[in-house]
Amino acid sequence: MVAKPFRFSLRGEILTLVVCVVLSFVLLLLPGDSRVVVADRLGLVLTAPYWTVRNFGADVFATQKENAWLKKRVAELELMASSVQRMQRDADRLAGPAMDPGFDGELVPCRVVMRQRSRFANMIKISSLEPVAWQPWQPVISGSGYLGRVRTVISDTEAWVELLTAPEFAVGVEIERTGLLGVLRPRADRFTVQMVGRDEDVQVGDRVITSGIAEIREGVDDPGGTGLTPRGFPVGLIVAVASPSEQIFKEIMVEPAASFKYNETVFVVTPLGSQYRPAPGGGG
Amino acid sequence: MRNFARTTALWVLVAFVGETMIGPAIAIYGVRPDFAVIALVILALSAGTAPATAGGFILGLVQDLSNPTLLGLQALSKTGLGFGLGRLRSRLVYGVPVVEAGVVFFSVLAHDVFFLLVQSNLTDESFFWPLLTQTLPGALYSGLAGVPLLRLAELLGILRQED
Repeated sequence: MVAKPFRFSLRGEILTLVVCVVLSFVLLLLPGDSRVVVADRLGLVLTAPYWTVRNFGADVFATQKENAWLKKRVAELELMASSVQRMQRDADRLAGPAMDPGFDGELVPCRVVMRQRSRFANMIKISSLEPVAWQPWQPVISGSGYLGRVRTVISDTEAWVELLTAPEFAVGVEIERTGLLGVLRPRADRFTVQMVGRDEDVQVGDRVITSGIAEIREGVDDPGGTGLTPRGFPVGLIVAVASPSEQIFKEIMVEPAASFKYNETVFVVTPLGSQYRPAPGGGG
Repeated sequence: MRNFARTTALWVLVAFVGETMIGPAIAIYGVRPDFAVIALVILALSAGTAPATAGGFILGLVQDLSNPTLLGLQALSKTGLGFGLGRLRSRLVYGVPVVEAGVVFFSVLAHDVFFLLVQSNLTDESFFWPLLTQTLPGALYSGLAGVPLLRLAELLGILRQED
């Protein structure tokens, strides 16, 4: 059942008209100041709620647009920042480490293309864009410190590098503060400096560098010491020192400066062995 | 009751949203449809004389609030227009766009002529120049813009001829 719409009589319609016209005239005939006051009061009731809602909606819309723009801008800036950081990292890697004054060697940047991990070997394969006259035992460094040495030359652009973490690796080192000499070897998951007397002055935090003193290498004929690791490459920092009473040498633990887990670009120090030619069958 | 709610919602929406948001957006050289009059036409053709008279008064009063110098003039104009449109309701042919456009056009024209006449007498404003540059093009534009809104009202079932 549909309800019939309510209908006004003609008298009701005329009454409505009269009331509205009279009210309109009353408003129209108000004195000037009173009109403003009345308009102000009526505005609070009639239009203020609408404008409040409308302005709120407009603000929400504007804020959403602004948020969308800001999000876009943040994304752009983040991309730019990451791009700059990547360029910075690339530049840092290509810059190489600072060398000792007077060192006239040349660093050849190479890219790590393969990694080999086994019980008896821990090596990376490196590749150079240009041909390199590299030889076994030439030192290999990263931007942060000593990394290892060339082990096997594959071609004039590729070679295998034995890392400092290889089980049988040893390199002559020096404690920079005191000039004490020792031999750094990997032991399980850490590095130790051996052959340092128990009464010597060694402190936690001392920096360890390569000593430049040749190691004895079996099966390699190195008459001129051309495969020598130069002095001064940072190797690491001493993190623990102990002097057990039953030993004549200190137990020194070192935190390596270079990372062995992740390398993109490494540097081979070439001039020291550039004229060197290994004996047939020697040098791995 | 449902019909009353739909009618009220539509004419209030057309009047307020049309005047404050849509009108400025679709204005051509400052000429824009008079959505308040279109809303009053919708109200008069769907609800009758008394609601249109009262609705016209309220609508005019709200418009007057933005111009307190002539407080009551818009209310008076729209009261008369609402009453006239309400009385015209039973004499119109429904569902013909030309008729609907004509009703809107003449409503805007009549409203603005009355408003400008009183205004030009009460203030220093001229009568003919606004009539030519604002009222006539505005009435035409309103006639065009009013047709789809009246069609919408018909689609919603709120526009119906008096028994």
